[in-house]
Amino acid sequence: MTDAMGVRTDRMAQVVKEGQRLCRVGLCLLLSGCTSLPGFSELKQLPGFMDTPPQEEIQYDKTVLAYRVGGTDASKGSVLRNAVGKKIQTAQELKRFTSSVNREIVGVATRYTAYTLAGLYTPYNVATKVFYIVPTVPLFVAGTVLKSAREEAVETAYGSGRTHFMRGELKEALADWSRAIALEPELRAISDLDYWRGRAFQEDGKVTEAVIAYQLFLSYSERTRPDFFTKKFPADMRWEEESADIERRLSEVQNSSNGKVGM
Amino acid sequence: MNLVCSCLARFVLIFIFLTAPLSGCTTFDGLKRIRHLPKAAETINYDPKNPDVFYDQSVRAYRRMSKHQQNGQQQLEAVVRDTLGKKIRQEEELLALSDTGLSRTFGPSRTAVMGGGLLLGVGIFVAQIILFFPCALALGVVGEVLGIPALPVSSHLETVYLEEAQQAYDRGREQLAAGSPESALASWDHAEQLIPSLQALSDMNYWRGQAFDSLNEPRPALLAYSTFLDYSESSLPSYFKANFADDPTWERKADHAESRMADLSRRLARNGALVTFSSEQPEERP
Repeated sequence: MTDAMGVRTDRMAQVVKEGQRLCRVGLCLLLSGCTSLPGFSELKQLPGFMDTPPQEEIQYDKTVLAYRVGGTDASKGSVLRNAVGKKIQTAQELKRFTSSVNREIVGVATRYTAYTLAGLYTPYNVATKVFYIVPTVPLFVAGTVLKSAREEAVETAYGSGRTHFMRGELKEALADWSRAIALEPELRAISDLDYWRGRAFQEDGKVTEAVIAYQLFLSYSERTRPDFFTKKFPADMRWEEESADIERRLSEVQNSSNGKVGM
Repeated sequence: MNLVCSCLARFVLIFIFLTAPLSGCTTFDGLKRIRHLPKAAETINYDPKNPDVFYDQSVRAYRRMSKHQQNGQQQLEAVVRDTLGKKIRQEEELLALSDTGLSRTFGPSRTAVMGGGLLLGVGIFVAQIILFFPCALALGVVGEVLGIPALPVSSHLETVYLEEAQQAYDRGREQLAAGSPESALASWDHAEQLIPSLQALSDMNYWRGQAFDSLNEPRPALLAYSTFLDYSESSLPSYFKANFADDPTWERKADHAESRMADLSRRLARNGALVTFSSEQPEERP
């Protein structure tokens, strides 16, 4: 009897906790539409307003060398990243991150006033969005064409870089990858571009640049590469293997360069 | 043919740039990014013989050269940055940005198709200007009026977060000086969470590098120094300068950061220690 009550209380507590979390997410969503008011537009990313994941949902994922929220399965959870997109990789970083986002900077009254005002503003926001979007539907075609053109250009630049690298044309390879990143800066997070940049720098005897590129690969990249990279290079190593390969290469780079450091 | 394509492409861009802001069309993927694409926002003509961009050693990055002069001296303009805000520091990066022109990015045939399709939209565009713009203006006015009750709260929030960021930065500096690098790092992480652009506006990553150095953590130290050089400029906001007037100049910090990066990368390469943390990390749970 007591056990059953205990289980029921636990379940209720869990439901209340989830309810609170949902309310918080809902309020954040309301705020997110409020882009025209200065100070409000960034609230959902600010400490005290963020929907911080419960500690038990944060797990270390060895395959990406970082913490993940909502399970270690790439299809379910997302990698935990800080405000500038760097992966949270160590326990110390996680501790600092959670203590920062959980810090209440404004009082409860101010926070809920902000939520309320944002909520009141939402109908206007919705109406405005509809008003703006409908007449611009003809531009949708142009948007789609531009998007696919950009993706193709990125893929071509990346692939061309890989080809140049295989031929030993390092300068051309690096230029291609620079172009790819100029077109799609998110490549740093969604591809293994920095791994290959590191290898090119290493081949070129530039120790510092190589080490930084490898470090950027480890700090920002994930194994979830877009299809178009994996399709063209199916024989590529997996992310974990690439990261392990970095360690071996770093020893090589030191031996081959005899301490030469390029800046 | 190339000339026609190039003119057409520019016309298409002008059309989109005029239309998109008017229509608030930021929800279409592809369109919302076009203003950031190379040669779309602002042309970079990099010709080593006759540059309008030059390497500025004082910020370790390329900078645009102004056509205007003041007191006989050429005025300086903004540092060239990529779409993520990273400074352009290598010639190859600059070349990539300048030669990734519209024709090279999209190809002449696609540009022509795109332009042709959009030409048909000119009528819609004109109609938008005539009919849509007054409505948008009216809606904007209504929005501003509706936003008035929120203004005190929004300005209060802005002030509170800016002050908190400044205090967190200052606190970090004091903690580092007092020999508590771990606490300093926590303070700076908090400041960055509040204002992510601090990595460009402040010298925070330089001090982060110092903190990691003192904790004997070469990996994050290297990344911090590298981020400092990649994003930061000498033009710190005055509120950071105010409390630390005796700080070395940005160039001195950059010199030091470069020398530390060279040492650290040699050390990491020698030890092959870059990813060793991965094997010990899984045990460390919060």
